[in-house]
Amino acid sequence: MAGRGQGSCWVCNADVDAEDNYCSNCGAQLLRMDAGFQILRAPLRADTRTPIGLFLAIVGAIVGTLSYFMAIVPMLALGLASLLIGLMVLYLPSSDSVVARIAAESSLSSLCNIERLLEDLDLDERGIYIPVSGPGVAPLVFVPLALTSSTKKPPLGLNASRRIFVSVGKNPEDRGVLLDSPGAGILSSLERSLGLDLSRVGLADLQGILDSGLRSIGIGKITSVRQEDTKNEVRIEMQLTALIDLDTRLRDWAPRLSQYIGTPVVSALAGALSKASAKYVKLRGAALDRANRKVSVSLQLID
Amino acid sequence: MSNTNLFFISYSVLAFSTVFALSLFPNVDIDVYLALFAIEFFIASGLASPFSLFERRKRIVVEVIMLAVFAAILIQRIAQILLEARL
Repeated sequence: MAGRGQGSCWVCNADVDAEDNYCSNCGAQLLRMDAGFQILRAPLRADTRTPIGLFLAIVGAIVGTLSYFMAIVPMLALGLASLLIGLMVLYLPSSDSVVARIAAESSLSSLCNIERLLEDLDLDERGIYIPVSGPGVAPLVFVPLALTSSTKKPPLGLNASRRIFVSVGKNPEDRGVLLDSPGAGILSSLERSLGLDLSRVGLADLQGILDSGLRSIGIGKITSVRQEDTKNEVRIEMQLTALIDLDTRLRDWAPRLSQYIGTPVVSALAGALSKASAKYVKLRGAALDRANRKVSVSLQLID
Repeated sequence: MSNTNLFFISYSVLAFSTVFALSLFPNVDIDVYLALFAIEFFIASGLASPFSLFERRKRIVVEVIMLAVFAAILIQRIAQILLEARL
C-alpha cells in the first residue's frame, strides 16, 4: 500500500514512489493512505484520554482524601466523582480496537476482489437479493448481465448453488454472477444473537428486531424503517457505532460494489429485508452521513 | 461524537451536577452521593448506548461494581431502618 513518500505495493510488495498510481512490477492500482484512510478525529481521542483520566483520578484522590480527614462531605463527594470518572476514562477503551480494525482490513481485500470482478465483467445492473429462509442463512446476491424477465426474478433455487457464473434463462443475456452477500456475516451474527430466523418475522416487526439485533452485536441502531407502498420501496435509516471506517473506505475503493450490491452494513439490511418480506430486494441507493454516523438505505421490493 | 465520548460527557455532567445540587442541602451522607453516582452511571450508559462489542465487555465490569455499591448501600439503609424499628 502506498502512503506518502516511498512505499510498497500492496499486492507484490515491490518499492513504489509516492507519485505512482500503478505498481511498475505487477501493474496493480495503488491504494493511497491519504485518500481513503482518514480517520475521523473525535474531540476526546484515545491518546488524549490517558492524561485527562490521570488528571481527574489524581485530583479526585487528593481532594477526596483531604476532605475525608476534614469531614467535608460535599468535597469528599466531589473528589469521589472526579476519581470515578478518571478511572472510567482510563479503563474504558476507545471504540476502534485493534482487533476490530484488523478484522475490517481483512474483509476489505475480498470485497475489493468482488469490485474487480464486477469491473472486469462490466456489470452495470444492481444486485438482486434472493429470498431465503432458515436461521443464520443469508440471501445470495444475483448480479444480472442485463435486466430481462428471467433475471429480474432469478429462481429461488439459486440460493443452494455453489457457482459464480449462472444462467437463469435460455437467452444469452439471461446470465449473471451469483455472490455471497457482503453483509452475510453481519446478518448471520444478528440472527444468532437474537436466536431467531428473520424469515419468520413480519415487515411490521422488522424495525424492532433489527434494532435490538444490531445493538446486541454492537454495530449500531435502527432509527426508522418506512415502507412507501406506492413505489414498493422501503427506506431504512440507522446510526453506526462500528464499521464506519470500512464503510467510508469501501465507498471510495469499491464504488461499483457499494452502489450495486452494498457495503457490508447496507447489504445486511437488504438481506434482512429480503428474508423478512420473502421478496426479491434490490438496492436503490445508500447514503452515508459520516459526521453523524448515519446510513440511509433505499431498497426496492420486487413482486 | 462517538458513543464513548457521549457517555463520559453525560456522566460527568450528571455526577458533578449531583454534587452541586446535594451540597445545597445540609446533612447529606456520602452514601446518598454514591447511590446517585451508581444510578447516573446506568442512565448515562443508556443514553450513550449502543456501545461496540469490545467496549461493552469492559463496561460490564464497571456495571457489576456499580450495582454492588448500590446494593450494599441499599442493604445497609434497609438494615438500619429495620433495626431502628425494632428498637
